Amino acid sequence: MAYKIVPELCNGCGACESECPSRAITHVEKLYTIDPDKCVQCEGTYDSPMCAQLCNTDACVQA
Amino acid sequence: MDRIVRVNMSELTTSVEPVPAAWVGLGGRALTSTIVAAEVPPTCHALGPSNKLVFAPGLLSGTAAANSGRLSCGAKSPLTGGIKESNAGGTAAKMLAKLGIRALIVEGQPKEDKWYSVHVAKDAITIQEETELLGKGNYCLVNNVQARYGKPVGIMSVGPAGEMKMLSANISVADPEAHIRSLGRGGLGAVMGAKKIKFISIDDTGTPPVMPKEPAKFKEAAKIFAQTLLDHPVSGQGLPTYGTDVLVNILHEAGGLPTRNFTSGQYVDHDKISGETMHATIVARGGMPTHGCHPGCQIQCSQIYNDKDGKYLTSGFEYETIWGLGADCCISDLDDIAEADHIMDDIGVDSIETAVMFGVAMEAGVLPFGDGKGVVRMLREEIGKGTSLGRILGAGTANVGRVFGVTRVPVVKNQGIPAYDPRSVKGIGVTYAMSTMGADHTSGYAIATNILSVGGHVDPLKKDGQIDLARNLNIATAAIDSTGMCLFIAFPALDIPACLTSLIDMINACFGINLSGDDVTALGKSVLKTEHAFNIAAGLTKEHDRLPEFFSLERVPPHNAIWDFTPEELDTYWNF
Repeated sequence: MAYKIVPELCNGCGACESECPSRAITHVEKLYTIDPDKCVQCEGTYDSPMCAQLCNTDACVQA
Repeated sequence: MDRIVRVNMSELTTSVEPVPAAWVGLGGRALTSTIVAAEVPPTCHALGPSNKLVFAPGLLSGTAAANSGRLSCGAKSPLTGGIKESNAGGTAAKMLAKLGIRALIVEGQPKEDKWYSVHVAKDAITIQEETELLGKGNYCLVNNVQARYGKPVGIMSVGPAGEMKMLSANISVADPEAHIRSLGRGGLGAVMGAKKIKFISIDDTGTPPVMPKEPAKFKEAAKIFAQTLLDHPVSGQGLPTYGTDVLVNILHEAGGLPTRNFTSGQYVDHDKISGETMHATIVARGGMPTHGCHPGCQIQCSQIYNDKDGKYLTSGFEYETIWGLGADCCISDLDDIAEADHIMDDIGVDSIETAVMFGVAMEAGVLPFGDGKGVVRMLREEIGKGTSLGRILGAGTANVGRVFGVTRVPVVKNQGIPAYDPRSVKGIGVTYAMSTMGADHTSGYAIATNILSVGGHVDPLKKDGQIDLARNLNIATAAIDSTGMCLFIAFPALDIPACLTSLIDMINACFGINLSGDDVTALGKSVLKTEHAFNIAAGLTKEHDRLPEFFSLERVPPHNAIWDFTPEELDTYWNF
């Protein structure tokens, strides 16, 4: 399982990108996207996915 | 574990200490100004061993709070002779906060003529001799240092201007794209150069984001806060679309756009340098019209401006820079201004001080008004290389005025007056006169209420209400500058009640405390009083809280406005 970023909710602030322990988040044009092959939902690093903890617009959700 | 880091450049040692009780609960400007006031002798030479250079992230930096990634830097200013706090985006504030470093204090001065870099990481803070990057510009430096570490480390650096201790020298802060943000004003780059530090790098590997003590409460407040930034027309629409340069046409219409070294309030070619023109140019050339200066920014007033060939030219292309070289120096070619902006970032000079200085230099006949290519050449060949003329130009507006015998020299406490004519926008004039920082629009942005009708409206051409407006905005700004928040949150904070309440809720949830709005106001007052006391002890008396004489002698068109506050009226600013 992985997380994804809902484009309609993402404001492109980038708070999630640099804090992803799997480096699964990248910049595409103005917005961000999660590579599902790299995302491990922060298992082993954080209690819950850090991108969702940091997102203020609820754009990071379970895929 | 929160800590204070000291870097002693006399002994070439570093140390870590717990946060003293008196500094607990302070961040950003509140902390840098408190430390400078406590530890720097006010009468010391700003470029000598007794001055200290203090970096501090804000109270909320490193958390999930939107727009909380601003870095404060403080010292005694070699330009104003008073206390200085300068503020920038980039990645450094977030990284310092994640490392638990509430303040990084650089003190002393090396005895030998050698240059150094400082590296800050989770387990060690080290000082290394630096030779390879001496004389190099900031763009080259950032790329080189990030390549050395193989990762996007945070960087604070000086360009050649800082190495030469020019009074217009700034400190560059790397942004998420390895471009340049600036701790711009007050010559802090000269202080860093005097400490013989070429750059400070920060590696936050192995540190999680700062977690609030009450996560659920924090999350709820953070979402409300972010939404208010998106809902306000200035922070949610105007700034993201056109950047701060949206102000060119607005100030032209208001008659407050200082032109040809402050001899008019309107610029005939305003449209060529406006935010609307910039936006269209950026889009046509494949740049980015909307871009954040630090991770987590919801407003994103920055941009990436490409040249005619579609290659990167500059970013963070601000209204004050474009106004200064545009209207004030009468340069109507936005590409010339963009090239100058790139060079200023690269050699490391404040783009406001330098643009205001060129207006005075043009009046002196050093180069003609409108000579964009001449400005580019002088930046590259004279200031950047430190020729005798370049050293004079790099010494800032006030010194250039003195050297060339110009009387129309727009400065307060030797710092160049930015972007808004104080005669036709009187609230900002009070801020310029009274700010503890010297002429500084960001310390109490009365344009919001005088021109943009944010937080009510006070007629810009009348004296009524301006001193109260400036005082209240300076107090609020001192508090905002302590949170790590971008100043532009002030637009929603002045109009949408939930913005300020959610900001205070975030601070309370983060630290498990119970601040009220009155406590935040009290913090702002305390910061200003601390700074004012330092300035008085440094020899900046109330006679320095004045605008230059020419503003009271020359009326500025189109309103034929004049500066008519009495000294007694201005002094009531400090009645709080």
